[in-house]
Amino acid sequence: MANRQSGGSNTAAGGAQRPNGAPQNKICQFKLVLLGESAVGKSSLVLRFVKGQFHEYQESTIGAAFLTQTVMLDDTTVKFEIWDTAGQERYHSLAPMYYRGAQAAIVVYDITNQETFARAKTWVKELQRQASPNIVIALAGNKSDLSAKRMVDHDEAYAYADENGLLFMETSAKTAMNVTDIFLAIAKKLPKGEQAAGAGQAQGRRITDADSAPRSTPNCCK
Amino acid sequence: MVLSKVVPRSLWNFRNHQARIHSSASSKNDTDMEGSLSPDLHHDCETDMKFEQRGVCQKFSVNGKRRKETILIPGNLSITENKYGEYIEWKPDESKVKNGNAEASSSGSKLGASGGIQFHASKGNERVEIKPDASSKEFLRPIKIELPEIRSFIVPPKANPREIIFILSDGTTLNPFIFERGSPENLVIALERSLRITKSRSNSNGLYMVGVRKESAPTMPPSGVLPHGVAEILGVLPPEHQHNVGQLWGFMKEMKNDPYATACTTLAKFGHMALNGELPINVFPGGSSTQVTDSVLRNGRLEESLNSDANELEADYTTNEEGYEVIFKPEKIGVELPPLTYFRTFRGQPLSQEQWLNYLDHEGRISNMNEIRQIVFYGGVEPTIRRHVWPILLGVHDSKSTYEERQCQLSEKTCYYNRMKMQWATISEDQEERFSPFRDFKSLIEKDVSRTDRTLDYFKGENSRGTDILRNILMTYMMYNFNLGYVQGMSDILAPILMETQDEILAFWVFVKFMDLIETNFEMSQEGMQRQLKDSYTLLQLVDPKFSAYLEACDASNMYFAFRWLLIWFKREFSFQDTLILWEALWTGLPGPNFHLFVGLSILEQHSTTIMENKFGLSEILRHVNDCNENRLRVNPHPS
Repeated sequence: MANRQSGGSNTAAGGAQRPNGAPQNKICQFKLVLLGESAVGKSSLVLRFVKGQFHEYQESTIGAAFLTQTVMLDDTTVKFEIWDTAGQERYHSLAPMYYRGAQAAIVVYDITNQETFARAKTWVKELQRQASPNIVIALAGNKSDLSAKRMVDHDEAYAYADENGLLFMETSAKTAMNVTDIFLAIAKKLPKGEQAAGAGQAQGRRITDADSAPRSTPNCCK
Repeated sequence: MVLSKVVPRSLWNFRNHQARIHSSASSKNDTDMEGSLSPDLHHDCETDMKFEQRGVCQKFSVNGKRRKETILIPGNLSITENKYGEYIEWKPDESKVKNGNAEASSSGSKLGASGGIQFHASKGNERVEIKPDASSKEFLRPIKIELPEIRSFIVPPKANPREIIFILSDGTTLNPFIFERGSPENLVIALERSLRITKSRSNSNGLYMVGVRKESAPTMPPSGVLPHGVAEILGVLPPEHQHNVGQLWGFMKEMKNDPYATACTTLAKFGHMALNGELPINVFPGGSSTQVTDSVLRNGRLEESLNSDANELEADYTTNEEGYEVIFKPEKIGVELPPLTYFRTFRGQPLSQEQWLNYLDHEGRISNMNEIRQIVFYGGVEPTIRRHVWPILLGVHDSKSTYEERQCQLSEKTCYYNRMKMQWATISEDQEERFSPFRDFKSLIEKDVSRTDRTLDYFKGENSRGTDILRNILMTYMMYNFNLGYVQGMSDILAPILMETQDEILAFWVFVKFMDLIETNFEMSQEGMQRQLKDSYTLLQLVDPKFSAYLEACDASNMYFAFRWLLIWFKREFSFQDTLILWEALWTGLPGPNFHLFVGLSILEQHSTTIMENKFGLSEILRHVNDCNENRLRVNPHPS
């Protein structure tokens, strides 16, 4: 099932088909997966990014959740297909199914909990070993609003991210700090132009006609 | 219909509004990013109002104290256009909402003519005042969707349709919009100017497909003439074919004429028929008629029954990337399900205290446990006697035990519980440091207890009593069954039991017995879950080959979108009370140990048309399935 993604069935939200003749727009679609230890705030980051909401007692994710969000970058519409996963080690065996074929990943830890940072590192390793070779990985140190309880040093995480070629930001789903930014930073780093065509799995898909069956081949943007 | 040119005071886009957050957050990104994030940030952008309808409520379902409550937020629905595209928008009616009036009505479906936020509790007639707090803000969130994002919509077929439910291209199902006056007619007419609307091919559930019109928008039809599709939606024309629903699962779709119609009520009947051989399923040509169903229900293993006939089946087994088997040629199974007459089933009455007492002899022994199981399966248990019935149903106590024996067992179990509780309660922090499995479980329990059903009164607030007891029981269960320890999902299993019994020790032992039934769901290997998902798919191949082939084509045949359903027995899909009714039925063990798979399939089957005609892929299916939770599912939608 590696690259047989489904989002190709989505409707073109902009571009040539727009009935009122609005200007054409590049549309790219990327699969992004969130990974990290339980209760670090994966779902909360997604909820903040997609709906602008924050729930103090966000319930645990069972199985996985799927959401989409669109951002505009210059003349490009970037549509994220976001897979939010369950964090507990027990459900680790499901994870490859969700990160397979992903062009981007956000690995989340909780700045108030050192163990979650260690877990984040193992996720990064696993992604580097098993996910698409061109995957864009971002490291998010979440719960930055709780800096009084900080257990993970910012500079240590920054240095780790730097060594491993990861994007890095400390985020807070609660205050919204850096939430949109981290997604935008990923969007900027993802290949979108024609020059990236043929780059393989890390390539977003151009969205075309809505009226065909679920597609199975990833395509590049125009 | 209103045609006017307006510049809205505040444009809001639920997809892109975080752009505002962006502007206030520190950022090293390009300065032009904010402006380019969303077309909607161009506040000076001229907007054409192409259609407006006042008095359109958005319908929310929320967990009330005991049952689901419906909240209707009055607002206005419009179609607008700016240079970036066309949108459908809904905004709460500020004039009505500002008054802060809320109204509780005794009728679940009637809409009051007066303004304000309306609470439609199905019970009582009290007036409730809504304060504009954080939770009400959520209800007041405007909606704005680009028209091409609409993939389909549902107008539940009724004599007088007043409801419309939009499904978006990413699989999102919006809350229903209810038209206080009139019907969705004019809205659909307006949509038809920009969108191509066609009736679902197997339209028995009011589903309409939406495509983008490539030609220029047509002019309005002469007054008095309704576009064909619209006329059908409104029931002006008789449906083209109210054809006889032939297939076994067709009757489920018929039931879904009401989108809230029940899965398990219907299936209860089906299971009963299957068990009694009333269902002439000719699974294998020339074979025994109820072979597969019977085998699944009685022996608990569908796969075995299929494998036993492997030669006849000639099904090719292959291995997919996950390393487990899938049946590759479903058509070889050769299932031909015969026509089934449409019928409607109703839930029975719950087991009453009087009935219960009648089944007890003078020493407390239960005279006929099978009859009790039947009553519970079809009607549930009256809440007041659940604390007596559940322990027997689940085998905490034997049905042949006397009052005295049960009393005796209970004190033993109380001691046992307290002993185990002391074990974890006396582990010091110093010990914990050298006891990492314990520490890890404890940390997980803490994390999950603080986010389990916190919206319900019993678990509300910092250090609520309910949350404390939830923690105590889960910690004690960890000591009781340290091999399993604590796994996410277990707090969901415990919470409804605890809330209903509000008795720490009783809830623990009921939980223990429930966990015995579903322990394999939580095992490290996940084999139990994989087996159930696989069995569900095999079953789906039998009852709906077309849909199962569709799922296979979009790589969803591993059924992982149903993971949550099966892991915690639909607890996140139904309200608390409905969950208990469902669990009680499943605890009876009738009609067989795998009945929960049938429940899952029937829910899925209700969405098969929507999924196929929307051409949902793997991700949209997951999204759709996660969305069709408590807002849309009812065990018993029409209580008599």
